[in-house]
Amino acid sequence: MNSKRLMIVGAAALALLFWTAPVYAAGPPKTFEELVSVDNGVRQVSSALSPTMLPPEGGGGGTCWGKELERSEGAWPYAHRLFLYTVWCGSGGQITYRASDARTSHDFMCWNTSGPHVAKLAGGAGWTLVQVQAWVDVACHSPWWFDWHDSLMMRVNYYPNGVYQTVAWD
Amino acid sequence: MAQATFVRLVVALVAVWIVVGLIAVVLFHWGGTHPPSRGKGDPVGLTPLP
Repeated sequence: MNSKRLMIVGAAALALLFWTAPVYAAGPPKTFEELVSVDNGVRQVSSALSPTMLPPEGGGGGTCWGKELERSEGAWPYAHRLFLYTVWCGSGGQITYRASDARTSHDFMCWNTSGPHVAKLAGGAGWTLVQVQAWVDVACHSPWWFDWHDSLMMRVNYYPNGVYQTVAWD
Repeated sequence: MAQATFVRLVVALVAVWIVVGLIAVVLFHWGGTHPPSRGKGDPVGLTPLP
């Protein structure tokens, strides 16, 4: 009788152990920033996150900053300008979100021959910085029989504390 | 006499054309701006939905 009771209690304890094991294996609940980060529209979702736990679209959390930077050359009527606008967020020393876009604004003698282009060169969501480059190829009418060509470029690092740093421009 | 005047006129026009082109070259490269080497972004109220 006692051995039967002992077996039932043992089986119940074993069942309880199997039932609760995944909870303990999962560890402490993760923060939003740990589970989801966003880089230029691409969500990086932790493998530990089930689809039903996905938060809605939006920033990756933390504090967010935005900045438009300008690289230009020439004077009227030859001024040609490249702008890079980036919004980025940081939390816990990591980038959690980044979105960038580039635009141009030229005087009437100039036009784009390629671009503007934007590319992430390094880092991003989940890293300690994200490096973004924007560039455009420009042509301008000249008084002579050929056009003049130029290219504008800027390469910028963005950090999770809201600081940006221009590492190169041309 | 008329031919000499015509030649002078052509030379003057070519000279003006060259000078205008040189001025334009200067304007093409004149001035410009580049991003600051370092700075801080402006706060953006971007918060994920609950």
